[in-house]
Amino acid sequence: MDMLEFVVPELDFRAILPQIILAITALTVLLTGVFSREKKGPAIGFLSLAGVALSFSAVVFSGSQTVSSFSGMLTNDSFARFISMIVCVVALLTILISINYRKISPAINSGEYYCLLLFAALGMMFMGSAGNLLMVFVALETMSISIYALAGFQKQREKSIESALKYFLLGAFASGFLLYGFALVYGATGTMDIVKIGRFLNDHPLVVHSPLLLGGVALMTVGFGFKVAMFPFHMWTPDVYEGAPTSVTAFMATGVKAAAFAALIRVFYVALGSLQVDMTQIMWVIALLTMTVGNVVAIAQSNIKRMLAYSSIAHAGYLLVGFVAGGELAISGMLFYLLGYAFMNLGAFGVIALLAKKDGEYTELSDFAGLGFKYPAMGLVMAVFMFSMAGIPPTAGFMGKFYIFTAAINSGFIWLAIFGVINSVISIYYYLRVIVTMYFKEPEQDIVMLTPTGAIILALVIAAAGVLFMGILPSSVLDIARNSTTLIM
Amino acid sequence: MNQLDFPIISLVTFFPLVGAITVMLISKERKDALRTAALVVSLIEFIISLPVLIYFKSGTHGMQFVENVPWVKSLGISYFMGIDGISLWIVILTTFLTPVCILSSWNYIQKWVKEYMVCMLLLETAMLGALVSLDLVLFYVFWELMLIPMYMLIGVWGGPRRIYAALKFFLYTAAGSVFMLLAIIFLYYYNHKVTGVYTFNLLELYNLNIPVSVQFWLCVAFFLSFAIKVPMFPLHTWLPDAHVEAPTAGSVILAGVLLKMGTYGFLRFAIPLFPYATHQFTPVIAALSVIGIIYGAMVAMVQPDIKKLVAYSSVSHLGYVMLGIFAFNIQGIEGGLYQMLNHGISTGALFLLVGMLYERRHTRLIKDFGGIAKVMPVFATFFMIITLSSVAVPGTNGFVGEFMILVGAFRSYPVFAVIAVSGAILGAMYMLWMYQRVMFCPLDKPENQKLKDINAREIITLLPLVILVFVMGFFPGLFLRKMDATVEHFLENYNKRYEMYAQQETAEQLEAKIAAVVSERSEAPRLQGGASR
Amino acid sequence: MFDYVWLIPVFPAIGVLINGFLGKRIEKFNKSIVHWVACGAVGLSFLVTCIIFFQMLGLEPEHRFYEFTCFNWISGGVLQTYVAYQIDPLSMLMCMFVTGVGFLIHVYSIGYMAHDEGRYYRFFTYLNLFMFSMINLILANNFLLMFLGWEGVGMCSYLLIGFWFSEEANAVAGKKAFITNRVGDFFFIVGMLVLFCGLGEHGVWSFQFSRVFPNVHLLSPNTVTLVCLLFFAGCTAKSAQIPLYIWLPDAMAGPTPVSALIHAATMVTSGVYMVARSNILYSLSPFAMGVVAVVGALTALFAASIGLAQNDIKKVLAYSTVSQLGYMFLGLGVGAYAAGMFHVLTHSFFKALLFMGAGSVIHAMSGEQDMRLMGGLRKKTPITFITMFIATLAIAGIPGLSGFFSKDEILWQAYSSPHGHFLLWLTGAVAAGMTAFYMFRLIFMTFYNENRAPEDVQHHIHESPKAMTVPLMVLAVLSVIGGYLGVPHALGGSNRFHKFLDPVMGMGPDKIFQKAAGGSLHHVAEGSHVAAHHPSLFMEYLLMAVSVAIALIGIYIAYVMYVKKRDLPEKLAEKFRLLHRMLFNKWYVDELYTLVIIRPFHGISNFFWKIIDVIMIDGMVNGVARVVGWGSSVLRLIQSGYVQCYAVSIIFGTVALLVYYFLKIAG
Repeated sequence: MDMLEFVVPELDFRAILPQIILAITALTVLLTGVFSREKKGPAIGFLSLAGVALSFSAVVFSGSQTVSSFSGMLTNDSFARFISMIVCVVALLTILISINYRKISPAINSGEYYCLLLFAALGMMFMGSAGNLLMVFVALETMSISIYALAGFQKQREKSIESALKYFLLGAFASGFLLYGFALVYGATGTMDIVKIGRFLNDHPLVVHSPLLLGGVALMTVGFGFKVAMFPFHMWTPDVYEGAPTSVTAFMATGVKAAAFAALIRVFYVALGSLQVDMTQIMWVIALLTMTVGNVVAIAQSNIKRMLAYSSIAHAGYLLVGFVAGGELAISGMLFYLLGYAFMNLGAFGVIALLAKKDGEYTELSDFAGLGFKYPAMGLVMAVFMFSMAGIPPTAGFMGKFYIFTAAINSGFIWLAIFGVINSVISIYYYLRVIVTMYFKEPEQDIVMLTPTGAIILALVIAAAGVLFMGILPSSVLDIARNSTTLIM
Repeated sequence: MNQLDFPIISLVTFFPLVGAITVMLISKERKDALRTAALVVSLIEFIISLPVLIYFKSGTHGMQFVENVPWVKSLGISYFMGIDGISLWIVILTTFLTPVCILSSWNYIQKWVKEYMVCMLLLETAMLGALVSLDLVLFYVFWELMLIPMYMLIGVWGGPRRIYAALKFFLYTAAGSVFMLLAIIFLYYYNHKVTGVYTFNLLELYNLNIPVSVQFWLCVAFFLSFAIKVPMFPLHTWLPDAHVEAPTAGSVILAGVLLKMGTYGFLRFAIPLFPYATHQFTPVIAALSVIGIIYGAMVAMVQPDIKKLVAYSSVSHLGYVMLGIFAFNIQGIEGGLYQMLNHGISTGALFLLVGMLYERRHTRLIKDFGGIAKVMPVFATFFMIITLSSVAVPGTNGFVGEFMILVGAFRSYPVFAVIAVSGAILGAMYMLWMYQRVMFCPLDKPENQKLKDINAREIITLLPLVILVFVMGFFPGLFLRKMDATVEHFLENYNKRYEMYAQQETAEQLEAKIAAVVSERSEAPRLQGGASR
Repeated sequence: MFDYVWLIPVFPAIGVLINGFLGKRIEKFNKSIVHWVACGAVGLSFLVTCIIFFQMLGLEPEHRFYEFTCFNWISGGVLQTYVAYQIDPLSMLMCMFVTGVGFLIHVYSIGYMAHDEGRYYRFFTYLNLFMFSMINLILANNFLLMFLGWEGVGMCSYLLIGFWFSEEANAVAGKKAFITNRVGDFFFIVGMLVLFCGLGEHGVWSFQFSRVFPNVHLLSPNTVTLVCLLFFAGCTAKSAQIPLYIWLPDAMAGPTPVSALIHAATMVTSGVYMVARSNILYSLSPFAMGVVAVVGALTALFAASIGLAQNDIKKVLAYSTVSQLGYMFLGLGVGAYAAGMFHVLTHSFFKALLFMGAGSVIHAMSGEQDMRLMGGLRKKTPITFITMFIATLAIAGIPGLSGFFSKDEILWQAYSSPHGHFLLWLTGAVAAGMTAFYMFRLIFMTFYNENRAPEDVQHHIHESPKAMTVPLMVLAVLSVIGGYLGVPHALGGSNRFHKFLDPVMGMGPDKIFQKAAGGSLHHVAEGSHVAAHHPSLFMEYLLMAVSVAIALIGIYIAYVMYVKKRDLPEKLAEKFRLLHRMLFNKWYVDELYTLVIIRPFHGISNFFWKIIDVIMIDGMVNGVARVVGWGSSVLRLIQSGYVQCYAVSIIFGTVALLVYYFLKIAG
């Protein structure tokens, strides 16, 4: 490799147009927040919303060509665009939820909040399109640091602060591992460029089994594993999810997971594709443990946010099944699953965010007793989200699991698929418990729902429609996902 | 292919869904309007299902009224629906029972009427969908979808232990069906490996040649799922709980249609897809069916709760159906199909009757009754007719089904058939003993003395069932003739495919033997047996 | 030419529909329409039967066979069954007296049930339904339709025994009857299945008599025996033979017309009819015939012995019925099918009469059935007395009355037939003596001496209304003359009855084997060998005289014990206490069944439910759930909330991953 050659970076700003839009919106929002004294209205929220929407359209209309720009730092391929789309959807829904959530937690109705949110989204998008390990790290930190701050946004709530602190401490810890892992990989291959690492390993099969590389891989697994809440790096999840403001939890549970999986997929398939055989066994075990621990422990939870935290661990497990399976079908399955998961999880948290009082939320499962009939529409959408998470047709959750298990069977991982379905039966129990409480039990206390604004109604409708649409007519989304699996190799 | 040039099946399947949405628009305060609307929807549904019956060609075995549109093209999933002689009557039974159920819950359901009606109509769509789907994924979607409204029906409008019962119902059935899902996916891949085509089309998968060892496992997965639904001994314990806790209409639908999904599944999916493995399992299934017949009847006998008694009697009756199906001859299978209808009508009616008693007395314990026939003579008459139909007295529908099953079973397994016949004695014992303790004997409890006889609405609910009991008892030909061609073809196909597999198996064994000998002699690397190819 | 045969079953069916659906209204409007409809329906059936019967008599004996198919019933594949009727001498004979006696009993019921308000129509509906079933049983041209009738009559019997369901005993008796009959039906169904599939193996898939019987030679002898035994086991329930007779005495809980119609004259004889109908099958299996004969003889003796000590007037008659049915089977068992049928006919006259007479007595005594509280009714109810007395003479076998001819023929055949035996005759003769004794005991206790009823009952004693007495008189006449249809050759008659049934009964095995040359020939050889044995005419007279003598002795003892020395029965009971108690308690058979069958059965059922279902299966299901829940609560403990712990977990995971990868390199 000729280090001395001076390369003029090819600066293709069109490739990062959505990101640029987000960044500008973030700054604008921040400034607006600083200069506008009036903090009651949802104006800031709508402003961010517009930005995200614009960014979304930029993603959608950016064409279908694969562009590698900034010296390979960014690769704007269809995979990246799909991730960006998911991120936009997540951001969009999160903002819609937040606009309503400000009634409980006025602190979040500030420029800082939306700014951080948008920056986190920006980081997520970059994670999906990073073509270089360094870029991955920068994007990941952009995202993470914003979210650490977001998690502690309810300053007056101890749990929120605790959540932020825990997330930060552990997150920093894990980032360290990740970075060290990158360094080792660089040491082994001499490059940070994802595509080049892949090519190098192809050309030098001896390196594949060098301790340096494998150590790097192990540490990278830790770093990504932490972000996607993979066993045994999942421990932070329940505490952080429970403590963070619900709108942030929703964002975290879906966006971070999507972004981290995107990076994981790109790094492990493109750069470390030749290692796949070696990884399979350990990832197989990790996938199994992740879903089992997530599902089993979720049963014992009485707090719905904690329960959903464990459920998110379990979903990471299902996604890992896809990861183990590998191949085009599995990746498209995972993409599909990530989008579906975003819809149903945001929807569920959106519903939780609706049930709140000033400076506090009703997050105990027993608080939901009888609400299904008291608020029929809310109960109905919650039921849809729960059935979807449990993988009951005709919902996105079912179709997602269907694709993932299909991919697993296709690649010969029949036992993993069997454990997967056993797990999904276990999970039915606790998802149904929510429905049991909502519909089958008499209310114990009088719980008043926050008056829903148009924003959250829209959010829930979009989420529910998304879940059902992907469940009933999965074809269109699946086709897009399938077209998005051609990574730059 | 479609003789009506009109997507009649889609209309029949989704009309209740449309109706459910319409019902949702009615204010929840207007309970009577809700009830009427649901009833009207279900009646119209029944009427639109009639053309299916009328235009059904009985001489042909093929799928009729077929609709086939790609659904998820990239995976080869299609929206493929059709009706043949196996599903025809169950479809009609479904559309027939739903208005009956809605009518029966007129007064019983006072809480959340709107949600209740929506659940009923949704359930109807799901059941019909499962019955007409010829694409495995489409079928699975409807199959699981059925669980949701039923779960709600039990959980919301059920008895005191409804939560336990509802969860048990859901988890039991879901646990069974997820393995079927895996088997479906496997089948899909295997088909692609062999034919190069990605498809979930059932009719195409019928022709797939599956290696025997693999077939065995796939068959287990399918059997498990259907056997839980039937339910076969020893997978039946969810049923008594679900029945006892479910509201009357829920029980009727559960017994009338939902359980038939299991037996239907065997006929439509498990058996034709895996004829060889089925053949290997047949003795086991037949034995379990017979055990179910006797066991269900015996346990029914000692139940203190009428509804639980009827629930266990379902286990017994479904045992007959399974025995008939697994006799693998025309009498057995037609008898099995006929018994499915009978069970839907007789046991459905029994649940209605028990529900009427419960509405009046708020108890279902046999010991709380006695001498009811004195104060409720009309009710007693209906109850008697249905009881007799349930114990298969000739001239009622029950006899026709049971007798055909026995003839069929006797031709295949005389010993099992004889044991099954003795189930008829037990049937009479528990039903008549229950009838005697509830309806006869002195009217000695003051609470029972002022019970009102059934009213016009209740009579209208029961009358069609009672009429069917006799029509089906005396003129079974009306029903059986539409099944003939399909059942004949089914058997022909089953035998043909079984023969094929059997030959293959012998060839494989031979090959393996040769391979073993060769490797023994020459220490040469072992030849690959046919199974792994 | 008999295409209108379907009218016979249809009339009662119409009666059922009218009274069943509209009865309640009609009864409120005008009660008499109810019984007009019901009696009219049966009357019309009787009329049509008569027309067909006499039309048939006009034909040559070999042409007295006709089948009429109404519609296809249960069919699928090789199983093709029809609702089809068969006209031949046997079915028409049976149909004649069933509709005839049935009609009389319908008329009688008008009087008997007159006081049953509100449920009057129901009673007649059930009666008509019974007639419908019974006619189907008789006229059916195949086993399956016969089975429809067979179960149908059982069902009606259930409904009618439990007619006054408010008494627990009645309801229990009804249920017992149904279930016992079900046990018999079990054997019937299995028999049908064996026959159907057995013949099917030879390509004859049919239940139809006219296809089954000409082909029975195709069956192996063992199969034939099996089928015969199974069918006979079915008969033991329907026709109340050992061991399934237990329901019949309890069935007396029903209204008396029911006892007369169903439990004496018609339904209980259907077993006899069925064996007679299947005579070809039985003729092929000497072993099965032997079983039929022995069971019949034993039942005759056994039931008669119980009849000796009963005090309930209807119970005595019930056991007498069981005993008489035993005679019929004895006749069938020794190959005297026509004799058996003859006894069916005569028995139906006098036993229906006895029951109706007993009903009349009970009516007079305001519902009292205990004979110890009766007495001296001779003067107060003269018609009842005279008619009953005639019937008693008939049943006791006094020469000149119908019972004599039929019973004597059976006894004679029991001795003389190739399948007969002296012991069979002896058993029958002893039972005949007992019969004479207990019947006259009944007459003496009821009609002689002084009345022992309470004062208020005595005042009400009166003769029954016309609707009740006229049928009594008609039956009394029939009881006298009925026997002359079949006067045996030995007494100078021509035995027209036998000849009439010849086209059905004469189709013995010989003829079949002639048709099917090459069948299992040893049967033929055996049959023809046995037929060669001819006892003398003298013997016939001797045995006749002996049996009459035994009957007279029985009557005399009854006279001594119940008219002359009325303290004797008690003394005897004291002396033979054990025997008396055994007889009085019906040999404790019911108790035995309860102990040996019903109790353990309930025990096992409870075990299945409470142990296997609830504890084992559900325990396993819930156990799985509990294990998962337990795992959950254990695993959640790891989640301590301390960041250090979480960090440790991350490090632990990292180490594990590193170890894995380095092991990979090493390996």
